[in-house]
Amino acid sequence: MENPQKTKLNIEQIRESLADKKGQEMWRGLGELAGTDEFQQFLNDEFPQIARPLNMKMDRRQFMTLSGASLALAGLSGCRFLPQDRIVPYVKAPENTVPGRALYYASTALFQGYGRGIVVESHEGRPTKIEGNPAHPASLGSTDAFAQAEILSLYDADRSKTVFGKGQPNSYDAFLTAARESLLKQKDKQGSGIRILTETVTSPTLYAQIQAFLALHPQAKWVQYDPISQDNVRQASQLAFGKVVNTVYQFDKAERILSIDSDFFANHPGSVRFSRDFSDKRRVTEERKEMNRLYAVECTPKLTGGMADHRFPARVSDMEAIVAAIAAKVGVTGITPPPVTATWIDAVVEDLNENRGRSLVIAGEHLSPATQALVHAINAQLGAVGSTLVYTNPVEALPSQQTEDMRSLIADIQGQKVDVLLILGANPAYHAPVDLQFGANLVTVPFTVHLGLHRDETGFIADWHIPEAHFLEAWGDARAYDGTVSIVQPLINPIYEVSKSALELLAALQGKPATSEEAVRGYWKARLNITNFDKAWRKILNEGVVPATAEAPIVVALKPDFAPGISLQAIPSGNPQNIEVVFAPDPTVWDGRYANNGWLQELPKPMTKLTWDNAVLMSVATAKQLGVSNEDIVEVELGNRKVKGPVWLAFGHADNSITLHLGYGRIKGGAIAAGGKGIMPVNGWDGAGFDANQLRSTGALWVSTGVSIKKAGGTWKIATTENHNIIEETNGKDVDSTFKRDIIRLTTLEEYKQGKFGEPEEGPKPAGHGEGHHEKEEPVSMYPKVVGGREELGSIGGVDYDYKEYNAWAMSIDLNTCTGCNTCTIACQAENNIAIVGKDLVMRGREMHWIRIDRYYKGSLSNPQTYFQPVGCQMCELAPCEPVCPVAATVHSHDGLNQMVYNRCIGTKYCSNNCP
Amino acid sequence: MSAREKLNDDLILGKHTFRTINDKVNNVVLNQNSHTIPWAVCFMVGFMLLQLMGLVILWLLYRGIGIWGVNNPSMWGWDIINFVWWIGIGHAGTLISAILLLLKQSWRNSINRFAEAMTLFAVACAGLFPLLHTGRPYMAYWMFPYPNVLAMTPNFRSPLLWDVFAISTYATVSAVFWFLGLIPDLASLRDKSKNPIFKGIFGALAMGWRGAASHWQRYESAYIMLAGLSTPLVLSVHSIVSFDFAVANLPGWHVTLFPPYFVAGAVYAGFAMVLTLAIPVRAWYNMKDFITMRHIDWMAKVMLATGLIVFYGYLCEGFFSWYSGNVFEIDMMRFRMFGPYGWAYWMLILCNGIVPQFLWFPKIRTNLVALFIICQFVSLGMWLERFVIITVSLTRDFLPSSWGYFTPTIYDIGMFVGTVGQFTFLMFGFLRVLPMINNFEMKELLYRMTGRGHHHGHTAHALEPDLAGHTAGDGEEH
Amino acid sequence: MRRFNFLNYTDHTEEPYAVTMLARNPNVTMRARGVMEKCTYCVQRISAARIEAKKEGRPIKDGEVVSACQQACPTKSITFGDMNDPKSEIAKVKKQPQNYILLEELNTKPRTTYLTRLRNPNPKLGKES
Repeated sequence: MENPQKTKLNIEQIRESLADKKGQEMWRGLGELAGTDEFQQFLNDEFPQIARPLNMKMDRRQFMTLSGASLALAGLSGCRFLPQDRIVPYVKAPENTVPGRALYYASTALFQGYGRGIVVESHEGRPTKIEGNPAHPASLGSTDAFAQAEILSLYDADRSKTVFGKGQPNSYDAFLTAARESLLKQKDKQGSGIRILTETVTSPTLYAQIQAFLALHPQAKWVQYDPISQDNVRQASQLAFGKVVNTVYQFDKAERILSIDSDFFANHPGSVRFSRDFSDKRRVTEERKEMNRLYAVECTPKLTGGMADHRFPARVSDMEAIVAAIAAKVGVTGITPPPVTATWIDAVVEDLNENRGRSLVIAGEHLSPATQALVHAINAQLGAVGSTLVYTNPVEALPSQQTEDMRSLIADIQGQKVDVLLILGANPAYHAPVDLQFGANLVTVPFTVHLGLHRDETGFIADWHIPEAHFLEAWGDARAYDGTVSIVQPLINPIYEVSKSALELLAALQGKPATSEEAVRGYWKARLNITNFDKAWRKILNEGVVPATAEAPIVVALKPDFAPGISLQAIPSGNPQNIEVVFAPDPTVWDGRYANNGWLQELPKPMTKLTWDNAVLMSVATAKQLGVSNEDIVEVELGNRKVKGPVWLAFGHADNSITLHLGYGRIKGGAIAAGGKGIMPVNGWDGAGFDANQLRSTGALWVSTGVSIKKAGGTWKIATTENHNIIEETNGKDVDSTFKRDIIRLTTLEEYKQGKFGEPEEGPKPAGHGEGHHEKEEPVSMYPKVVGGREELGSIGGVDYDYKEYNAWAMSIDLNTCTGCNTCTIACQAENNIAIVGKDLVMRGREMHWIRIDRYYKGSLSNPQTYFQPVGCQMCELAPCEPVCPVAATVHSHDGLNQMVYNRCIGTKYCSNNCP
Repeated sequence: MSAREKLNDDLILGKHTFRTINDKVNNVVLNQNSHTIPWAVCFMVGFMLLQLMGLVILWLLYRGIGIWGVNNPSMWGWDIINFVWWIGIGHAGTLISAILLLLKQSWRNSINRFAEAMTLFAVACAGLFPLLHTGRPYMAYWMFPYPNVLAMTPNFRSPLLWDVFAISTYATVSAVFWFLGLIPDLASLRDKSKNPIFKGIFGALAMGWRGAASHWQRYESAYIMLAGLSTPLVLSVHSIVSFDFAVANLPGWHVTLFPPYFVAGAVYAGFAMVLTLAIPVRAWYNMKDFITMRHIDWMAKVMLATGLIVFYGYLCEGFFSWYSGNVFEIDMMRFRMFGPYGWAYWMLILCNGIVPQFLWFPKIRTNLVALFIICQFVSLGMWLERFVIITVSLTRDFLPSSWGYFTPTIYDIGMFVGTVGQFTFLMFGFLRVLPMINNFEMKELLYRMTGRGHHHGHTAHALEPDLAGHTAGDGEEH
Repeated sequence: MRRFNFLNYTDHTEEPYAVTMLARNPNVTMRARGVMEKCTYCVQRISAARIEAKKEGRPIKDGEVVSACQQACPTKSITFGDMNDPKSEIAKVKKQPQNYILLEELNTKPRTTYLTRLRNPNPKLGKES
């Protein structure tokens, strides 16, 4: 539009031309001026946002089209984020869009790089809720707490919103120019100075694109790094089979399960599915009086131990010897049984043997390769392979030794071999092993790029930071734990427009800018290579999964000489001078990536019920030995590195061992990750923990002995949602945190078969409480007579209703299969717009969750049995809350719901006081 | 003041005539120099604390009741504790003015006026809390059954609603009763006042009282009727307040013993407060002739009697918790005694169970310093009683998983201290502008004691049966 | 189990935190300061199903109303439905002998009930672990 003939106007000239005119004359002058092209140009320069409409020539048809469209969209005022790419709804086609009516789309959430099928509820183009995808094998319609909370991560206020270059806001185009320049310089070297750093990649499309990039730069290297890596799993597989295989556990076939420090209910890419399969084998009904049996050997108390029929605390350092002893007992050859004297091993091994082909041993991914290799051998010996587990080819796009790769990356950086470092989605400056000094090394690389949801620790020091698109904002794909591919469908255009997905960024750097949809669709069109691809693609998007992509089982033979170099020395347990430290992903914020998610920060951790903080977890005995107790700040020293954190007693933790959860102590994680200070209603106490990564080195990624712990003085207030006075009130002996009340009913399978269902033998009973489930007498009550569980006739607004005509909504919660995983709490929070309140108010008992998972202990404090009980409103028919409300704000509905009328409530809180 | 004074059966000491009584009582109001430094200090401290309360309330309305320490499970905290405590304190006034009147106890005459004023001011303090403790106080009018388009009535099953009626009735009847009793004295002040403005104000308030026989006749019947109305209130108000707890199903709340035990506790706390006020005020204003050691002794005895009932209540609670065999009740009692709030329970037993036993000794009953200290123990004890009932039960109810701990915040303390300030401010304001002692009833008493308007110290005493009929209390004035 | 809005927890209109309000479910009322709130059995989902059923002139089918917790639960421990319908899943579950009521002695007749927790201990191992 530049016209050299015409002079460009500026405001001074306009003023000048009007200066000598007054009144009518001036206005006319202005009018004449407005008609000139120069003035139009001036306007366009001054107000670029109006440029187009002013220049647009519109004919009648176009006008009608536009006004029609604007009318149609009038109801969708919230849809500024509607994706422009075509996406296909899960059940209903977009033309069915009715304002106020939700649409559901299949997509995929990522966990540890693996996909989990989800269905996302969208209101007028605004995703609001994530559910599981029933068609996806890793979900079967359920989710875990992380997937539920992803919706809040999407709307995270602290997400990065602009491109940063050298610490200043900059544009994406400027970045591309700079990046292409840097890449061009690598042309001669065949890209030998280029490194790409990603997290674990299972996405076929992303892998293809990385390969394409590497093809352009043959000497470039690609490094994957996840702080919660599966390195040991892969090494164990290498050790046992000579190649990397993927183990697919089939809990639906296992009658006897031995877990060696595994957290398969929560910390595995397949954990949602495992939970389902496990619970199907555990559910007992009158028709099916059978259940599986779970043994758990574990160090840090986990959900597994909570569910276990027998739980044996053991230090992580001792696991190898224990597994070796089991292996020897099971009959794995080439093992000299180590001097482990644990009495339970014989009985457990016998039980596993008796159930050959129906038993399963599963090891934690953090255990040493030798331990896990031994577990492979045990499973082979028990006939588990092919029945309770199958091996497949690896699901990761490129199985690699991530820590080793990271180490060589750092070596390359230090050798000044790296000129360009692209970090796609990871935050190594926070979570890489501390001995690698990632941050310090990063700044020596001439050109570094960080793509991330947040301008986090890495984004802050990288030369360029590009906001990453959330997975609900861009296309992608991912593979599940069994290899099934599912498509990541975006539900919304990037909220911050500049956000890019890794696919888009890589495409742009290869000079073929494509949208993420084009990339994914293009990849699958080429790969599926079928006629009528469009129809097939539509179906894939509808269901969310690409059919027949699960890895087929393969047969692998145990190497006869795998004989892991197991140290068969006596275990140095019980030696207080040799305390071990265990690093574990946090149950709620994982490796720190969810640290800025308020729902997850405030979600009580399943076993400890801590919120907003991590802690130095240890057993009661170890704490006594160290002379510390809850909330005392201790200094943990490993090598010559130190961190300070508060002590928290974890009942059932192995002695002489402490656990530090990763993911806390974020410096640049956002306001929530920093404890929510400044944005929560009350801000008294610092929260969001300490950074355990400061102790984690390549040599001690998961566990290390030789840690020294000493009191650092002072205390750190911890926000817990359950009272922690149990020890004081039980004099440190056996606990029963139900205080002998009939709260958790317990029985054993044997007793169940004899018709005992855990009714209290003594203690409170309602009047007329019969034996077993015989007809119960109606207890004496001053309330109106109820029949069939409800009042026969009730009156609403003077009209009599026969309640039999109506639905009677009711709920049942099976404590026998509840693992205490917290998913329901978060699902409820997401569905019902439940607020978070911050550490300070949690400490005052003001958390808002509508479902709390009560956790009770029974037994010795060193190894108690743990019971979970989700408790929400019980919807009492004779609700004690109702009569006490002075303004009738809580009343019963015709279908028997105890309803809370928010508008009528004046807040006397009497209802809550009278709620048992 | 000397700690111990002579115990005398006479209810009016010294040589008094109608005129001296009249002058002495009215002088406090009419002579601005009669107020001394203690008055100024108390009034100013009360005023400052009242301002503090104003700030707390402003902040409370702005931020919400979350500024208090109330939490889940302890949804009620100091707000309701203070409410019950103040309501309880008010009871002594009503008891003195109504029940003792009906029982023709002439010793009530010198203390009823300021005891009634105390009732009113205590109710004013108490009344703040039911309003402010709600999450949305601006919606509190929904608790009244007013006609509305939604055809919504309040829920008549809720004890909180009963509270609304009980307290509003109580406040109204107490105010009317107090004002009615003031009318003859206001007339006297009108007549004695030299300042035309005061004269006008007192005159308006006296509502044209001339002391005519017909006035007296109507006055007496109205007064006795109001006394009859007030009498059930003494019992009902605190019974209903106790229903807030007794109707709920929490262990430690669900107790049938509560109504009588709360009423006794209320009278107990009320007399402690009357004594707390009477002991210094009679010294500062030299009213020892009217509020005699006999009065104080009897009030101490009432305290002892009600204190024993309260203590019996504690024992009963303990016994029935154990006897019920109910695990929740037994545990609740255990937590009261040995739980995290054990200190409060034992302090309570000390204050309300042990310390009042000293009142058995006449020497202590007539030792003003000792009595004053005991009264403070009783006030503290009664506050702790509500604290133990409310907080322990709420924080240790049925499900151990939801147990908690209650910690007050500065705003809780601010509200409490603020109401104490409000009470002090109103009380000392009252001393300045209205006769603290019932002028005409004292003169009437003098007449009944002597048959004349002169008192010679030991010719008669009030234990004699009431004289039939009444005469105008203030003959020489009109 | 009830929760109270002691302070203003929900009004995040100030930038940059306003964006988090986009995550909210438009079918669920936001609760103001000073108001009690609690589990509703996902009444919005019940209403949606009821409207759908009424439009089609049929009763609500078993399994048509799925509460959020039930839907998310990985182990399907939560069953929800109409216990008036004897053929419903919930009615069957409630007939299980291990069905019990939390704090039954209070006689509040809760609609939510629990199934007894079972253990399957190895008889050869002691009771302790």
